Amino acid sequence: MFATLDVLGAFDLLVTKAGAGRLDQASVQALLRALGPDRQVLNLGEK
Amino acid sequence: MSRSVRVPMVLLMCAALCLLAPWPARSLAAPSQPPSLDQAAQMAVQGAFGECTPDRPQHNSPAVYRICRPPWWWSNNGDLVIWAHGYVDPALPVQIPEDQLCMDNGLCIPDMVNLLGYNFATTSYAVNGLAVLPGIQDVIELVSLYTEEFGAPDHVLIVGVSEGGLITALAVEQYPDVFDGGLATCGPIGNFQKQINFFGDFRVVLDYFFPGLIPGSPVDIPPDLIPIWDGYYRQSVEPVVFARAHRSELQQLFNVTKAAYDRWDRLATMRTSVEDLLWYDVKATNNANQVLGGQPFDNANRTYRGSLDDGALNAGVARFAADPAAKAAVQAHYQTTGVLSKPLVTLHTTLDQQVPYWHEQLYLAKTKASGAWPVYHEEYPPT
Repeated sequence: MFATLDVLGAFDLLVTKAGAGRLDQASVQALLRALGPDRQVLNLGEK
Repeated sequence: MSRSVRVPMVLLMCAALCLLAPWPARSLAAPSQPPSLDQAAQMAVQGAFGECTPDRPQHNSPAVYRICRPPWWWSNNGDLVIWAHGYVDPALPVQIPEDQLCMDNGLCIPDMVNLLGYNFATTSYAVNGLAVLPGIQDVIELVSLYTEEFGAPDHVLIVGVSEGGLITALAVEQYPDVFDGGLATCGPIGNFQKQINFFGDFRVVLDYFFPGLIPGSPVDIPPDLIPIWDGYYRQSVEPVVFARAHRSELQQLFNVTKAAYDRWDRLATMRTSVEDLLWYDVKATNNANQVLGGQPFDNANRTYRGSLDDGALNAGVARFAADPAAKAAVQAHYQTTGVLSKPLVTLHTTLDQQVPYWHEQLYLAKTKASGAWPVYHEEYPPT
């Protein structure tokens, strides 16, 4: 499993390198609230 | 590689509609006032945030696709995120694998992407099983389908996991005119032939230590074993492999194959690795043989090391030579080059039991050799 911040960090790095700006901070806050305290983003077959 | 077995889509969608918050994202009714961040987050957890099209057939493929966009009252930055899913059991019907999209608390990747202000699209691919090549064509067509319906996105980003990670890497390498960048997570991006050999090595070494435990050949799975595998594994394989009397053989199996386990949680993680790696051997082998035009596993000249008696192991382990056509197909179509002209970020769990972490190191060597690193290829977290 990946930690939320790792996935968000990797995605933010991607959009930055792709010249697509940065992640909107209000949107990131909404996502973190949706994720809740566990903040697990991707369950890759129990990896 | 994220095998897929559960399909709770209908129930999930029904639950989402029943649990709609006071701001019905899937209707055209205007909220009386914009929801707060907490309310938007709650809607996302209930599956009621993004506005999704029903699953529809693609035009040039038997695949089905889905597009989800942020609600009109939320920010939309005009960019498109394509999600490339992982491996799906070839015996299952072709559909978007819901179990790879959602977490236990009900939050799903389309809503997460929409919450971030991005448009989302995904495809089932034309086939299950080994789907890398059709998958690449399907994600390319997906961009066209999105553009026809909603206009050209400002940027197209592709994010993929496991088999979808390889689709992502190959798509960004080969179609920089379509994709502005990609995020490949846990993909067999370093060397696909080595990935095939990793699965095969695990099976033949397990067969050496536990002869006769699994029926048939490691490279030609008995068809009647495939549909009953999960129960067969539980009843006949797992109890033997994990018997206390066989702890030495179990440890040697891992020492030789370098399969992942956590030494602080040894038996539990070994159970996951054995189950997953045998699942791929049994479920994926015949399909891969068919797709690749022959069996691709090759250990004819491999020297295995790490057992208590490597001489006996190397003399006794089953040997197979890959069919030349299969090996050539892998080399021609499934190997990354490391040549990039658009950014590719890679992320990999270090103890990935299905797609080993060494793929990251091999891919990094390719991008260093090509000059793509660090401008176009970057591992996360940055080193």
